[in-house]
Amino acid sequence: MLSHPILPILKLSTLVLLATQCGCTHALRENRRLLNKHDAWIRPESTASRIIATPLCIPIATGALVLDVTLIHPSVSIAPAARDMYGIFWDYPDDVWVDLITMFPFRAAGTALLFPPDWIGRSFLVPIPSELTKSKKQSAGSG
Amino acid sequence: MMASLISRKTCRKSVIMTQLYLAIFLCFTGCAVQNPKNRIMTNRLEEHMWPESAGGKVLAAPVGAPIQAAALIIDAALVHPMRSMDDARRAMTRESWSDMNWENHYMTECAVLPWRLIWSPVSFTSHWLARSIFDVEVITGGPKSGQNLESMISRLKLLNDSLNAGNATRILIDLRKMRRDYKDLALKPGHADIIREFTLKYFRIFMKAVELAGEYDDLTLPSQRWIDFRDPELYDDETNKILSRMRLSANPMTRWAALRIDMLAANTDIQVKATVGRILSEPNPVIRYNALIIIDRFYPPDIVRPISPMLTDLSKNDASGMVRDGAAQILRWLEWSEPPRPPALKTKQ
Repeated sequence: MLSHPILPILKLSTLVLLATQCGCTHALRENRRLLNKHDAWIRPESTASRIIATPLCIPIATGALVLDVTLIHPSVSIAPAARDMYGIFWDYPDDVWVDLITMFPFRAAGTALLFPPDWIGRSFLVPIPSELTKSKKQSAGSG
Repeated sequence: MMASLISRKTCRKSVIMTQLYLAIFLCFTGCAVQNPKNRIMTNRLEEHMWPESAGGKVLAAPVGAPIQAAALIIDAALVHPMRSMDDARRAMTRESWSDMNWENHYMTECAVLPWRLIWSPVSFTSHWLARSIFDVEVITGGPKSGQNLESMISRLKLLNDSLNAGNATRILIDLRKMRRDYKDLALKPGHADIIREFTLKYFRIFMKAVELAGEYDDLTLPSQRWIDFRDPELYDDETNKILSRMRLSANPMTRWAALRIDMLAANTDIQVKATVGRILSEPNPVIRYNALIIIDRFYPPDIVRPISPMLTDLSKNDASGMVRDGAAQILRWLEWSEPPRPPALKTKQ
């Protein structure tokens, strides 16, 4: 059997790639930020130029997609996930300091429990259009 | 050494035989060949091999039955799977290669291309297996290249000629396929006259084929609503004769097919009253109820209002509770409906 130190890394990266590709977040165009930039940058005019450029562009585009799926979209999803947690556990303007102190451990535990699944779901599994993830201020500003 | 070689050979042989049995078993347990449409060779043999008389059939059975069985096996294992390939290719194309936009999203398409390439054989194989084993209706079969409404009209003429001599069931299958192709072709603009000509010819031949094959169910399919039954030119002498035979049929479903066409064709108040009068005199409660559904779905309130006394009669005196409820429901709907009138209708009145 082949045994090379790079093999486990390759296997792991293939698994990660497959797992991320099986999720559907990148099925939504707006979640492919880097690839969309590439779409705007690289636009071959004629069919011939498109065919010639394809072998070169496939690795670049695949790399951009992988970066989008594994890095950019997950890091962008941190803010909406944090907003979710704030909305569920911390957004109580009427609370007095006694409430804050007594509820703090429960709220902290709830946040620690719910934040990872929320973030993973937003990053890899569920395609949520951005208008649904906007904060109240943002939607008020745009509206 | 020799013994192990032989045993290995027999083992391999038995594996191949098992696979063969499994393949044939799969082909027969699935429903693909249970549908006559998918038994090309068997159908041909049935048409040409067997004698007309019952005695001749009995005499020919010892030779004919094994041949027929062999034809069925060839149909299941070879002919139908080969015919399914084209359909599987279409399904694969629709699934993996249809929504491309190389002009505006070149890099996205580049990124997706490897996945399309990886997915295509998987998609093709699964579609092909499913279509070979099970009776999957050919929904992806679009018109052939070069096929247009004109060529379909000339094909209709050929079918009309062969209808008097040939097998009505086969012609009906052809006509069903034509209807599916028409759906794709008629979407192209600038065809109004040809579409009408095609519809008229299609309907007349279709009625003849339906009567000869005795498959009246085809007329009540929702997919037949592409025909505008209100067009008076649809009904030439022969079609009218067929319709009147259908109206007097002893089979309730045949009567229902005729009544449904009459209801969808009714243009004027008098026609509507006449058809509703027929509903009242119809002995079968299922047909009476189905007719009420047509009134409920397709008739605007203006047309239903004059017949409301008849509906009241149905809602009170009908023997079937289902019909009484159906009629009462339409009456309630009528009571509550005051539709906004489009300006075009206002000026006509």
